[in-house]
Amino acid sequence: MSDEELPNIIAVDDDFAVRMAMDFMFKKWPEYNLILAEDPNDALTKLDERDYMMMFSDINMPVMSGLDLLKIVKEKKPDLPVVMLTSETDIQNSITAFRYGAMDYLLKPPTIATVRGAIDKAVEYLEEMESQQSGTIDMEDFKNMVENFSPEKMGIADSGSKNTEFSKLVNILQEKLIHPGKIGRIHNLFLLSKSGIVIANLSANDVNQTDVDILGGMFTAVKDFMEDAVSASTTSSLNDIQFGNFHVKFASGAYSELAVVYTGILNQDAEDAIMDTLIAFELENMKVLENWDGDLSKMDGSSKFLEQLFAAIDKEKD
Amino acid sequence: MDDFDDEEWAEMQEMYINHTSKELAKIQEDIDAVEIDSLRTFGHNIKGSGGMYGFGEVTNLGTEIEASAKANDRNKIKSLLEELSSFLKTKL
Repeated sequence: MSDEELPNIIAVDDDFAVRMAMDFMFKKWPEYNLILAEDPNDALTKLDERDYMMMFSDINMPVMSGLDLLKIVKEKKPDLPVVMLTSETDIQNSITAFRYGAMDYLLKPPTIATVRGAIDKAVEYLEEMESQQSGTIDMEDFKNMVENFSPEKMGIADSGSKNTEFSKLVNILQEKLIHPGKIGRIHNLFLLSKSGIVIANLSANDVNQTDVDILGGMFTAVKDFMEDAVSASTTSSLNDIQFGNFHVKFASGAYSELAVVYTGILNQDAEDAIMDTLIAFELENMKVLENWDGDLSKMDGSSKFLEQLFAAIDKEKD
Repeated sequence: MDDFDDEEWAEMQEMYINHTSKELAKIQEDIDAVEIDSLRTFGHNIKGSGGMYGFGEVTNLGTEIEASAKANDRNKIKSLLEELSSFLKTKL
């Protein structure tokens, strides 16, 4: 197979030494064609010249940052898996990358193992995207389902098999809440009022505001049901419900709820961090929450709690 | 996961040392004329790349150069660049 027929991967970094290391790595993987770009403008030109399977990009670059590049690329090619390279101190950048739709971020220096892992994940992601192309979601259908949500009808009340209505709900939530190529555990975080209003949301896959509001109502219905009828998890202090291959974990405060949408396993440290986040949020906003009239501007700074939580628990610590 | 073998590793390190030495020489040629932001970028870059090539010392010096550039401390940067230059010479 000639280079022109191989899947193309573009790597953007202003540092020659990083590009050189990537070049050495890709010599080990002749099944891929690596194209190097020395800055975002060079990358944009090269991205227009051919199709790419995925992109790696540095964040800190002069003239245009990798995050600005990510934003432009995602507008043009929303399905292109993008992995950002960042230093350990750039947690805020990692969160912005997550918001802008990056598949993942790798800590610098990238290694053969982390780069190869990201490529393999991108391949899985693209295969999954292809298999999902057939079914798109009808938002009206989703709204009706949420408005008429009944855990009993869905079969959630039974410990055995769930019914088809539940499977349909799982598929919809999966598409709305889960970024299939994401490597870390956390896919979405929601801070909700007891009545289901979304106070803040940190999302992996660009959930729009209408969807966020509907999902807020959905979470509250599920949460209320769980508290009333089942003890979903016997080993955890938090409520946890499994939808297909992902989970939603709920922490309850006096005035608000924190819903964490994740894949894999959250350990005790992560659970403690979730509860601590909710407590810190309520303490800072106690006066507003006590008599809250639904005015979100009174809790403008709420996103920071979700950002800190994301930074603390997205990737399992050693 | 197949890692670099000794030969590849040696080739990479040699290229890295040569490249960084050239970059450093360009900076040191007329350091007073180099903008502080360029010095910060240089420090930032070697901080990130040093570890990729197995040179933790380069990463440490890069961290210090970047911090000194942020503090606008040119004298400190000059001395750190000297230290970097000595280190690179031992690897050439």
